[in-house]
Amino acid sequence: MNGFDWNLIDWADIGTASLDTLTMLGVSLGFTILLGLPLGVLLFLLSPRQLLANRAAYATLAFVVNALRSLPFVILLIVLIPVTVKLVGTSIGVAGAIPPLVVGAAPFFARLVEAALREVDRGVVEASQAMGATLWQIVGRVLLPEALPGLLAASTVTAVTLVSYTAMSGVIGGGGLGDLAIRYGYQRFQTEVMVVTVLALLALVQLLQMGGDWLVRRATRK
Amino acid sequence: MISLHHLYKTYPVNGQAYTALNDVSLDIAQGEIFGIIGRSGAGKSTLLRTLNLLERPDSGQVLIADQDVTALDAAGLRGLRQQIGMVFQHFNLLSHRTVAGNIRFPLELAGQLSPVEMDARVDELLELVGLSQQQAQYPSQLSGGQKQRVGIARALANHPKLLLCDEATSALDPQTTQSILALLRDINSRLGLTIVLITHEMAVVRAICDRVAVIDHGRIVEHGPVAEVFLHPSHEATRNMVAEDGHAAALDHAGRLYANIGQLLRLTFVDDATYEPVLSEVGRELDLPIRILQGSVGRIKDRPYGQLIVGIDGELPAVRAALEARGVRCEEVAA
Repeated sequence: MNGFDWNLIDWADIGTASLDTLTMLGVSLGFTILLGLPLGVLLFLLSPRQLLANRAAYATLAFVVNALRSLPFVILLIVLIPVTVKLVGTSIGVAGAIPPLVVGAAPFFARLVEAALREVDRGVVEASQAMGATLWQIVGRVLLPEALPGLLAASTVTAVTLVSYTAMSGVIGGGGLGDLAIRYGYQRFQTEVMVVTVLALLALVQLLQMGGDWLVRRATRK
Repeated sequence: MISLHHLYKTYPVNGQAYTALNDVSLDIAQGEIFGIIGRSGAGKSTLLRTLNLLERPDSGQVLIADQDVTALDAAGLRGLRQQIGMVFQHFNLLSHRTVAGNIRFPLELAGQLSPVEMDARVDELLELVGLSQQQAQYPSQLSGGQKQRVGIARALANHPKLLLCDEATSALDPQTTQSILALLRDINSRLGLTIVLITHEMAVVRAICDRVAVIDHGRIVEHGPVAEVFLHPSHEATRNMVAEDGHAAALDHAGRLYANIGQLLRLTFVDDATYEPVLSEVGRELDLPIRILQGSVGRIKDRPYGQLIVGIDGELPAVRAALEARGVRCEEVAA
C-alpha cells in the first residue's frame, strides 16, 4: 500500500457521521449541564463549612458521584442498556448513546462545578449574607456569576471529554465519527477513513477548546 | 441602640474549645462611632459579627433597637441585615459587576425599588463616595481606596441605621486610610448613622471614635470615652497597646535614667487646658524649675490632649494643687 486512495472514501458517510457526532455532543452536553450544574451546586453547598454544610448528605452524594465516575465509560454503556431502552426506546444509534453519555459526563461535570464554586471568594458570600441575601439569591446572583469563567472552562473540558465518549459509543453502534473510524478504519483496514475521522475529531476538539477559551476570556473580570 | 448582654461563644479548634467571647456586655448609643480594639485572635471579629448574627452567640442577648435579634426567624433576620450595612477589610466586591452594579446589588436583593429608583439611588451614592467617574469600571480596575469607597456606598444603599466596619482600613496605605476615615466621619455626622468598627490600630480609634472598648482573650477589659481609656489605661492589654503606639507618655528606660532628680508627675491635659501656658505659669508662681522628661500632644477625634511626664524639685502638694486648679490631672509616677 503506497499512498492513500481518497476515492475509497464515501464523503456522504463522513458527513452523516460528523452530523451524528455533533448531535450526540450537543444534546448530551446540554443534558449534562442541566443535570450536572445543580448536582455540582448541591455538592458545593453541602460540603464542609459551606451554606448547607451537612456531613452525612455530602458523604452520600459524593459516594454516588464517585461511584459513577469510577466506572469506565465502555462498561457504563453496557450496564445502562436497560435504562437507556426505557428512556429513549432503543439502545443503539445516536438516541441510544445519549443517556449513557449524560450519565457518564454529568458526575464529572458536577465535580468540576464544585471545584469552580470553591474558587469564589468566601468573603463575597459573607458580604451577601450580611446584605440579607437568601440562599437562592446567593447561588443565582453571587456564586454562579462569580464562578462563570470557571464554569465555562469546566463546560469546555466536559465537551472535549464527551467527544471522546461519543467515539467509544461506536461500540454499541452509537454512530458518529468514532463509529466510522472503528468500522471502516479498524475493522476493514480503510486507513483513509481513519485518517479523515481522526482529522475531523482533532478539528472538532480544537474548535471546542478555542471557543471555550474565548468565552472564558470574555467572562473574566479579574 | 445596641445592647449586648452576657455573650459567650466558643469554637472547636483542633479538638479543643477556644473561647472567642467570654461574658461580653456592652451598650452602644445611637449616632456614636464606637471602636472595638484588640489584637488578632482577641475576639473582636466574632464580636462584630454577632451584631448581624453572621456569628450566632452560644448564649446571651443581642438587642438592637430593643429587639432581641437572636430570636428572629430567617426572614426577620434577612430584613434586619438589610438594615445593617457592613464594610470589610478585603472589600468583598462582586468581581463580575461594575462599580454601579455592586452598589445596586443590595437594592436588588431588597427588591423595594423600581429599576429607575435604583438607578437614582446608585447615582446618589456614587456622588456621596466620589466615584461617579468610575461607575462603569470593574473592581479589578480600582485602587484599594476606591474599592473601599464602593464597599461603603454599597453598605449605605438601603439607608441603614447601623454600619459595621470590619478592619475597614487595615488593607490600605496610611494616606488612603485617612481619606476613608474622613469619609466615615462625614457619613456619621451627615447621616446620623451609628458606626461600630473593629480595628487593631490605635490611630483609627484616635482619629474617629467617640468611645472604645478594649477586648482581650474574649473579654471586654476596659471601655469608655477614647481619651479616658487611652490616657488612663487601667488594664495591662490597654497599657501595652498605648505603649506600643507611643502617643501617650509612658516612661521608658531612657526616661528613668535621667529622672533621678526630683519627683515624677504624669500630667494630663484635655480640651482647653492643652493650649494654656500652664507649666510656665505654675513654675513662675511657685518659683521652681519643671523638667519635661517625656510627653506627647495631639488630638483624639476633636479633643486636643497633652500628656507629659515632668520632674519637680520642691513641694509636691503645692505643685499638684496649682496644676489641678488649672484643670490638669496629676498622677505620681514611681521613679
